[in-house]
Amino acid sequence: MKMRTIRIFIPLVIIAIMTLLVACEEKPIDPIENTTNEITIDSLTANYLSIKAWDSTTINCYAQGENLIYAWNCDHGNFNGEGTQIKYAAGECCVGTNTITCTVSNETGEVSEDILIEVTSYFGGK
Amino acid sequence: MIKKCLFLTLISAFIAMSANAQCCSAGNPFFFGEQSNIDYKKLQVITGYKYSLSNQYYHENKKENINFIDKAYFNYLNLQLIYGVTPRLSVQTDLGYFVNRTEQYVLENWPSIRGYGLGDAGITLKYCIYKNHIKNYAFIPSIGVKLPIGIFDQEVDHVKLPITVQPSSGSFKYITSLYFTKTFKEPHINLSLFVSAEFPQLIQSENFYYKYGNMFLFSAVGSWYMTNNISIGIEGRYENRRKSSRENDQVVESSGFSIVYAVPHFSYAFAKQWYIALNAAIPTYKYYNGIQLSNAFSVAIRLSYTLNFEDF
Repeated sequence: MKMRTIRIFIPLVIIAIMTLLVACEEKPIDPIENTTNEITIDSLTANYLSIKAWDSTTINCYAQGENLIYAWNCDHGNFNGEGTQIKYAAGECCVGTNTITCTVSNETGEVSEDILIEVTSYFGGK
Repeated sequence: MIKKCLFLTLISAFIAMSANAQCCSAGNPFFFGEQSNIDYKKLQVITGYKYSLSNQYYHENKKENINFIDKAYFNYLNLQLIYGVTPRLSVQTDLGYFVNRTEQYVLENWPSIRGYGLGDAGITLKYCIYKNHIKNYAFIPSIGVKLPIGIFDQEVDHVKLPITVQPSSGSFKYITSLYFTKTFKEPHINLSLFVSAEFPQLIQSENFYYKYGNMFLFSAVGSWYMTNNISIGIEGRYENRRKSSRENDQVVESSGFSIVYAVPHFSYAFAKQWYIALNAAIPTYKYYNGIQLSNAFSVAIRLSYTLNFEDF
């Protein structure tokens, strides 16, 4: 009876010790986890906020974060370029206040910022 | 009867594939194909190809020099299926695919852009409301809807393409039309009239708030059968699109147009169930609201095969 108790007890003790050892093991520092991947858009600027139809303006997006991807979208008009800097132009069909959206993303998420560009008529008026 | 049916089919094939104005439009080009209904338990399969070029800005009815888009063009494939559900009722489906919708720019360092992919789908019901077999004429009204099943928010290098090169229109369109056809035996000619109205709905997109104006079309076609297999003819077509609107119900002043096309056509029927048709749509009068890129011409070819399920 005594030997049987010992046979059961010893493995349980070993398991308990191993569990404690594993639980107490210091977790190595993961360099990736230690780095912030939060994205922040510092600025979204254009060299002209108002342009005549078929003229262009250059828009820059400055953001912070790792492995950033810059996506560009507008409700009316055309783009030229990619990445942090893009050119925007729109024809007479797009006269009005148009919204250009820059979306910056990486594996942790995405952040968007809008800038409004006014396109005025080729004929001079709005 | 079979000859008559084939004849009607061929004639209606000519009222086809007009050039939609390139600027500021998206989705399938106007490729309305067959206007006649088809006989009971017959299936017509039509494949088509169309090329369209726009390379000149217009301000109202005059040329305008704008240094932006050099030329815009597309290559488009279309598949139509038409089935005779009853002797009077036909159902037609349409599916379009853009090999490319391309814009090339005059500006230096402004590279050309290209959209491609599945366009809109369409389904149309055509009902032969009246047919006079002795005098050889018929009235065929239809109703249909275009479904924006294709690609609309296409982007390249994470940059969204403009609406003008997106393959799909992004909106539902409701269409109604009336087709009239009259055949004369001596000389062997056919006259057809076609009127249609298209009512686009608001584009369904997070990125756009845009609604194309309604479109109205009137077409008159004359065709002469040189032989039993070969015919030639000319179509006069008038297209009118109203102005578009954007957010806050703003009217887009530089949108909408009135265009008159001359569309010469040629058709050749062979091996009983087959025919091939060619046409070219050439604008003879153009009026664009504001300033828009105008269509120069389009050419199209289509191949048709008819299956008969009567014996099944």
